[in-house]
Amino acid sequence: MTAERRIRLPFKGRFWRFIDERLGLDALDYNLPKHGNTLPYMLGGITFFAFVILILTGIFLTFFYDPNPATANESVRRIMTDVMFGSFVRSLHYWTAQAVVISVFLHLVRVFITASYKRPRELNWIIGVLLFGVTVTFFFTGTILKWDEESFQGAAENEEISHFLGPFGLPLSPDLAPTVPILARMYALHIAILPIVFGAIVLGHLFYVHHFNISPLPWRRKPKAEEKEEPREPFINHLKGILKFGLVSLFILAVLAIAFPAPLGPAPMEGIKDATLPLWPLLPLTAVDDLFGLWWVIPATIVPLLFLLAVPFIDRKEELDPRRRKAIVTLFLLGIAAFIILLFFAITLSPGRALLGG
Amino acid sequence: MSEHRLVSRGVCRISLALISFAILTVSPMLGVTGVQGSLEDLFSGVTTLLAPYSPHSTVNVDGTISPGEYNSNVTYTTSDTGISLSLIHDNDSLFVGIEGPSWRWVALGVSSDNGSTMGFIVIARAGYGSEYLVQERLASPVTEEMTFLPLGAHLEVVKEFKAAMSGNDSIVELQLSLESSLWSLGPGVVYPTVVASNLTAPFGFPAGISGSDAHFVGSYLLRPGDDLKNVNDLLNGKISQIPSLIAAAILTIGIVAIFTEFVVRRRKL
Repeated sequence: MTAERRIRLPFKGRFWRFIDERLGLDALDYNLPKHGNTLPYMLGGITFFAFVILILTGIFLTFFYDPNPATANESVRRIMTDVMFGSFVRSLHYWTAQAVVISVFLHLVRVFITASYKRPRELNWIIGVLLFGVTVTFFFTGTILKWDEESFQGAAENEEISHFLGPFGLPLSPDLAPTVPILARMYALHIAILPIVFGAIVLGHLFYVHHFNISPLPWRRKPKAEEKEEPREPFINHLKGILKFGLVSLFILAVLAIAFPAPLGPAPMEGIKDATLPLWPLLPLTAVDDLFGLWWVIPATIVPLLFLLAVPFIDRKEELDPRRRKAIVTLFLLGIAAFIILLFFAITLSPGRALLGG
Repeated sequence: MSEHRLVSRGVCRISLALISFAILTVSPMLGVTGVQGSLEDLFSGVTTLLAPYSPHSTVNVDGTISPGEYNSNVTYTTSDTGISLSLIHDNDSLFVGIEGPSWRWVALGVSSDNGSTMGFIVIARAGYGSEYLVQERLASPVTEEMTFLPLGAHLEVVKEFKAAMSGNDSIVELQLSLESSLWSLGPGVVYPTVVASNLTAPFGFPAGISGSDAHFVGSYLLRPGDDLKNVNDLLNGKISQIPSLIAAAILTIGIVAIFTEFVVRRRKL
């Protein structure tokens, strides 16, 4: 019998040792720089927390949702009216999805400003950008599922864009499987394919966050000899902070879900187009469509994504301070400004509501 | 910096520039245009008349419009002549109530074939007395200036018709077939519709309606499951952008806060 096993720990201690031995939780027993426990450095964790809410509420919704185009809208209406807690759960899913887009966007901005994409974290930046893309795709497919006029319009525009893309657009196009409704494919994407992709990518993201630790503050990467090393704190404090902010966010989202239930428009109608506007994360693309035409939505999506993917290879100097990375930071901020301007512009748009005839 | 690194950096930058350039230049060659047909021009952003669904219609076609007979929430009033239309439908018929100052004629036209033709019901007063006539006509194609083909004395669409004077107002009630040679209407579809009226001039025959008399609108027969307010908000552009505005504001504040934290304040920890 080893000396360790001879020590008689109290029940709580024995319980945790039992768990730790089997789950390897001691891997979380490491220290972070103190700044890692500030809100800007917890945005990724808060996003993850919100994703857990989305998964749980999403599982609940799948029990009652019917992805048949003829009955999908009605099934969502039944969730809102007949299912116990259905309205609250769907509304929580709706508000949390929007909160995720905000937090993931802010996380990306923080990582960019603090140059956390630089060596040796280039790969994790790329993984993060892919996660951002997956999040937006999640959001888009989610807006289709309620299958009201707004969803129908979104699906129609998606189909039109898929035709612009030629063979590359086939996976998005109804032409791939004409007998399978596009709604069914969006549903499969939303509840099966994207979660698998997201799960795989997020595991990689978390692994590298752990592996490389929190990135240094951009203005004190190499403390001078006379300066004190930045204090460090246990990682568990970081998790506690994420939990704290996550629970506060959950409370706010729950209040929103009760006060402002998720909207549901009428089932798709015939003989009309452009009767609706999408939810706000997709509004900048609506503005691009309105200003330049639908085709321009393609470069407006791809070019920023390619730029973000290429950032670690464009900005390769060791400098982290945003004040000394004027060119790339200015370019990034211009992109953000364009996004915000297009967003506010689209908010001022009223739907065209062009009648096409019966 | 090594020469190799400089070269690879240059290649990356040039590649990105080429991708952007290719995307920007190829797009116009694909001939992507937003074609606006005349129908779309005429009916873009128009008001939509709603016909609620009532399986057991409360309408009594008697030339009087009593409170609750139609749904007053969806009554459409023409801005110039002040003539109001109320619609309601059951499984077979569309009921129309028309009320307003003593007009000379009122016309209601609906296109159920993608705007190629427009079926019209015209109600005209014979002179300034209380005698009213109803006629069925066909306009083709749908334009700003429409002329009509008379469809003969036999009425196929109008199942019932009653008109009366009430003070200075004319009131007309109609029961129209949803399925007829003039149109084929069903719930769940937004139809291009023309509501035309004139207070003074007699309805010209065979000349038709000019743009000054006509209001281009849509009409929609609600499905049994449709929520009236939902449909009205959607079809008449009453979409609140406040949630989007709040979200956009939160996002903007967050970005400014991050920028301030890391570029301006730079707190020492």
